[in-house]
Amino acid sequence: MKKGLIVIIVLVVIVAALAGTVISKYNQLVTLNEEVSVSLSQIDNQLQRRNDLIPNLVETVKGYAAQEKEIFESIAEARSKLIGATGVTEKSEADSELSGALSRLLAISENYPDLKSNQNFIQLADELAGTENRIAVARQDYNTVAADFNKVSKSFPMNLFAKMFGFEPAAYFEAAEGAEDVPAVDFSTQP
Amino acid sequence: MRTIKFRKKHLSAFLFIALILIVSIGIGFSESIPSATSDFYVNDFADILSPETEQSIMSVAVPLAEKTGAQIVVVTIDFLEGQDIESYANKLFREWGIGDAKKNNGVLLLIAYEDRQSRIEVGYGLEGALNDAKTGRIQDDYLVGNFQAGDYNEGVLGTFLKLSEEVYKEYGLDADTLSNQNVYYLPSDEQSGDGKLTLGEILIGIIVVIFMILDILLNRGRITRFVLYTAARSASKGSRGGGGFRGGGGSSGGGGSSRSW
Repeated sequence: MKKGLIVIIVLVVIVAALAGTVISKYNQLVTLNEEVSVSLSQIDNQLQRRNDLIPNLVETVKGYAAQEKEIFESIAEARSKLIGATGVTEKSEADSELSGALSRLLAISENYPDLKSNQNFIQLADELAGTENRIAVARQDYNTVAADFNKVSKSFPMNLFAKMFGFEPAAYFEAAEGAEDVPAVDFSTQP
Repeated sequence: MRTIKFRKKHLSAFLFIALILIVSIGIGFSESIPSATSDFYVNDFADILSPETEQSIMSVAVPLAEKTGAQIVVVTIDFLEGQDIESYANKLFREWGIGDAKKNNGVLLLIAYEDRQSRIEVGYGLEGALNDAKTGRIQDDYLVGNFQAGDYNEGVLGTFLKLSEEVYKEYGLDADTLSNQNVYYLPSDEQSGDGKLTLGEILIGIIVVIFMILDILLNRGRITRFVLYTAARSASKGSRGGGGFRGGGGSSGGGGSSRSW
């Protein structure tokens, strides 16, 4: 009789402790989940901002280097891919593709001194570089909170409950493999 | 017998210390951001500014911060230590908390003297007054040309005053005195001498390592220990004494622009 009571008390204490942890971890996850979406929308803002900058920049470069058709095409392609992208992974891939195409666009300015010293081009290039950097910062901030979120949701006891509460692990916004590679220069297509 | 044993023990101790030194230097150099001086608004770690320049900066930056909470901070360093200037600037900006915590109205002018790079980083709250293109233009007009001519004080002061003028205007303050004071307009000429210092940097690195080894072998590492101690002390946060100025807790999302000269 007495033994049974002790067992019940111990069980109640264990369950209560577990429930307490789950509740506090759940609240923590809700907060972190909110932070994850806020940071993701930060990235989206900057991606949008860059998308709006591109037409002006391309037009300016076309005025001096109309024959660089390949680069204009690859930018248009990557841009539309990014607009159509859904989900973090797809977006981050399209983003790094567009970044690569844009850095090639800026690099060709080295071959056109008139373009390079054009005041309008300098301004647009600064805006673009600034936006690229904002994307990089936003991406880093996002990945930090995503890692925090995943850490909590994957450790005990939330690893047992996260699915039940509908928490999916947050995907990381990473530069795709090969995105950091220096683009190859093809001399055969020179006019 | 005894002496040999003693030496062996010594040797392994030396090796151990050397290993720790190398590891700690590796860690320290990869991530460390210096902590702010008590002047806060001007931190001349590269030692390229005259006392007069520093005083001029303080005489503008301090009243501006008192009136508006906006903090314009000048930092000169020697090397970026392998990081790109954008990440370095953003890390420093956030660690120091430049600008008001709510208004995020900080501006950072960072000079990496030996790496020949500069950056103006702008907090969220001032991105309207100082957009990326404008910060690039300011560096072209006031910094790059003067730096190419070796006039570092003029370059820094001109850039700083121009930035202050823009912030004054943003807050509806009278900026005329500042623009009259700013006589450092010097757009860069087109010639861009690319300063490749990599070989020099490698040489300096080798000399430092040799010096450290000699120091450890002949001098029981006294100098190395002293340098490390000072570095560790300056790296540890909050070791600043009372008085002086500090950051308001502002942040930046990476706005601004970079230049090299």
